[in-house]
Amino acid sequence: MQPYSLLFVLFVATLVVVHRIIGRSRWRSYQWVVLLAGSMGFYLWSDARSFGFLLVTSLTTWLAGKRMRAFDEACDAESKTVANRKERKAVRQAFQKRRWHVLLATLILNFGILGYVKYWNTLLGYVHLDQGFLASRLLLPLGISFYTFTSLGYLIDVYNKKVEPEEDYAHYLLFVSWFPQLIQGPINRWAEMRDQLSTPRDVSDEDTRRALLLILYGALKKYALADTLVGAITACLDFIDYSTPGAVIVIGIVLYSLQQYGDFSGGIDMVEGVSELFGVRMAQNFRQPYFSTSLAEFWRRWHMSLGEWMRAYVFYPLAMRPSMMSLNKWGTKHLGKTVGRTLSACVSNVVVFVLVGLWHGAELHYLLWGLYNGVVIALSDLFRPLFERGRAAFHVREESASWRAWGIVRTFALVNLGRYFDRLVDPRALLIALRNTVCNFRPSGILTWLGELHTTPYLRTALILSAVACLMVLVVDIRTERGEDVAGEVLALSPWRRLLLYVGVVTLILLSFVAAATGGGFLYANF
Amino acid sequence: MPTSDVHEGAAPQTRRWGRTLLFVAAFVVLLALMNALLTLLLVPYGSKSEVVWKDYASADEIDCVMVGTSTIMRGVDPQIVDAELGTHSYNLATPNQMLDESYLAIKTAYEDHGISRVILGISYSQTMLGDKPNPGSTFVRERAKVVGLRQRLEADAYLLFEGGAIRQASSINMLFPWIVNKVTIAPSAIIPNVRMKLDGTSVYDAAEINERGWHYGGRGFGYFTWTLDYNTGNARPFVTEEDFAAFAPDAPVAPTLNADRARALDDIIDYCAEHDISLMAVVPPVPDFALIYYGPNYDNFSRVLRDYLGARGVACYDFNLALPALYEHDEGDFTDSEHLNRQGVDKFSPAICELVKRTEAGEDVSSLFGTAADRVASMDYISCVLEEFRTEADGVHLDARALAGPSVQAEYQYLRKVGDEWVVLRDWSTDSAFVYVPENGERGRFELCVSARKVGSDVEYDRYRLFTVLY
Repeated sequence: MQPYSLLFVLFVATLVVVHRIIGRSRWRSYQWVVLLAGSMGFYLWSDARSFGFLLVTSLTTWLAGKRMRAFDEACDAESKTVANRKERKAVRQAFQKRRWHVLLATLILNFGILGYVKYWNTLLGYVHLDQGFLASRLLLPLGISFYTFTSLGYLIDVYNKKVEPEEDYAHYLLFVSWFPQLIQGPINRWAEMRDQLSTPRDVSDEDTRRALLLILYGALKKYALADTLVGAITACLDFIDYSTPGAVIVIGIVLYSLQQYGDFSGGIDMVEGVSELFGVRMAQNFRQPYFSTSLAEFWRRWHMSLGEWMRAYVFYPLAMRPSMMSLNKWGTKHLGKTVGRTLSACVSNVVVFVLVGLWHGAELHYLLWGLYNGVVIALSDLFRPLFERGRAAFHVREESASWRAWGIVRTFALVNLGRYFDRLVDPRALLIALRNTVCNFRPSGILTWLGELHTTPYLRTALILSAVACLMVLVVDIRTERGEDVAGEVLALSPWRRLLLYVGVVTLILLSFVAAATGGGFLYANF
Repeated sequence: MPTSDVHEGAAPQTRRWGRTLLFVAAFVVLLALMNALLTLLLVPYGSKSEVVWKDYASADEIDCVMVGTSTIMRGVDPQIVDAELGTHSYNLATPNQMLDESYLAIKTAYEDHGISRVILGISYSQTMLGDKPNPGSTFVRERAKVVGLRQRLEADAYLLFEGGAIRQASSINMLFPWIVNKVTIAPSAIIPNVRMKLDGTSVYDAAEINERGWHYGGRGFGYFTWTLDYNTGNARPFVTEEDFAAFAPDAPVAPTLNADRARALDDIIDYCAEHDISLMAVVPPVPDFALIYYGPNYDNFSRVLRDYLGARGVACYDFNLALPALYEHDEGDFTDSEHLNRQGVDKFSPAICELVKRTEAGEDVSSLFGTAADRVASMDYISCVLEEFRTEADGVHLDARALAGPSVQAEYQYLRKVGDEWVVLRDWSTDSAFVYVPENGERGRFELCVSARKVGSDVEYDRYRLFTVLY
């Protein structure tokens, strides 16, 4: 079910009305049931055949959490019967081991399901067996990456005793299946969502207007900024051969960066706006990422929920392992204190980004993309003292505007270099693109390419629309980065100005369908 | 007695609601005005669908309709059909018409005129490509102008719910007709479009102005008179051998029609059966080079299609398999890789009528059809040559394919235009591949040509193709 469709609009509108009516009635405490029914309805309507996968993941993680609680209670009871401290420790360790086994089994099961539906056929393809009987005929279930990570995050938090396991399966199912997050995230945390989903909520007029404005802004990014760029990106990057000027490839990659931002963050804005219509604020997923001054900062501002998940459940557990501490000691001994202290973080970063790459897909180019990001971040951590000494030597103030501007430009370049691995799936095209970027840049090639735009209907129109949308988004992002409440400022405009603004934005969005070459789907849907 | 507090509390809320409603109403009005303006500017005047439906509205008696895509719109002349069969036919085919739209056309014609015969044009794209129907398409919009409200709403409901469009962006965009139906967004297209709308130009004249060379023949039929230049014209077929790969005999999964398209086809079949409408399906002919290009799996596709329809009691006749006793075309019958011109229509239309007559007389017409493989095997000439190229570090890698029957051995020659002269880069060889390395590291735009002829021939060429390479 596409967010930009009559069915979705009617679905959300109906659900909002029912939610509000129930919220003002004596059944107010059952408002969450409306959300659960809506989420179930959304999933069954969108992907009924895969509903079983959602149930399996939610049930197994919920039961595993309850089992861990049962172990905790049994452990407490047994500890009380034991007088000896050493024996009490042994009891706790025994139960901890059982908890670990439950966690491990659930992780293997659910990651196994995700791995099978998402990666199995790709892996078979590498050995030319993807057309035979071994191949899976299953379609990728809606939102499987997101709800798998969401539920396993909950279970790991239960294991680490950061949250109490939920006793009521229905409440937990709502958390896992909350429909706005299924389309393309974010990956929400139980601690932040539980109360929001389960307790009755009154949504003020102000919050409703802000939510609608967020949906409109997201649609602007998705349709007017991102979708209109598809034709130009295809023209630049899908027919790369030896003669393609590097300048055209660079333009294509930069446009792709903009498209990724518009599509992903626009989609997130739309689903977050929908969620906020019900008074449920989901995890923030983007924070003006292209204003980052380092690649590490970029990944703290882009797809933030995935980054936080990886940090909490992969990076820190890995970096703090005894084997990593030993690595640090070895590094300190042989390579110096600075390197030694950073080694475990470097290795963990590389592992995290390889996993992030693979999260996108099992293809080689995603692996390379993840590896690239991990290695660059690791190297910048390793060389940070050197960079700091260099800055000090040249008396460069880190807080200065020019240094920040340089950081932004440098980071944008690094991010775009990574996009070569992300976008260029064909290894041959990737190698030619990298080669031509350096050895065959030919800026004059841009003019030839621009001159040939007339042969592609609507391409020029699409680029103009995208440029207008890009400018609007840039203004909003700059002001948001400065801490301004742009939505508040818009809502405070006079009614006529707001009217003209809204009609103008809606017209821009509609015009983008005239010029776009896509069917309107999201890049990250079915992840 | 209620306190004033209650009223004072209620009043601000009521005012707030009132202001909100007023704001929403103003937004809707402004949006409607914007919509009307963009409709005036961008929606093309004189589209084929507009011509078809406008003329339909003034047609008196109709007992037979043709439906399908532009291959039928430009391929079947109702006047020829009427002269042969004594019918009062109307061609309701339109460019890119989806089967869901064909269903609506048939339904409209039956409800308005009680038709008793349908000739359904059908092909790969209609049965295999998976787009959802668009309730904002030109066909639907123009039909809506000539039918009643109930029929309009029924059509929208059919496309939204049966067709699945309610899950697509088109379900919202249908409110803005200029999104789907628009002229090129440039003053050179918009100004004449608006002028024609305002100055009283008829839709028929507008259609002919919009597309030079197109003529309206009446009763929904439009055609071109020009002929495809096999050397320089647009000869690359839209459907390729890869598209038919799913129909290979050793395909891992049994080939079927696209589920959405099959559903719409079933709706047509069921409707005709329910209302006692005689339904015949025809696959329009394509030029010889296209049939060769489709590859060896075309026969399987044709069989799957005919079996699907046959199992549902509908005869399907693939004119690409027709034997000369029924239908024969020559090179001059086409405007491109799938459309007939006026000359071609004068052969295709009577052939359809011949089939109708024979089948209604109870004759077995299977002997009038062969296989694509046999037809291709009989082609002892080069119908067309297509080029392929890519640039590498070591030069421009060229390749060509002479589309000819299997008995033909072709040889190729590569040339380059230098100034006004054509210089031979590589002389005649049966090797179609050639790597051109420009001399002295020359770079730029090269005009090249590949010529093909039969081995043993001494003609300058049988076919050639010009193309430009940027190196």
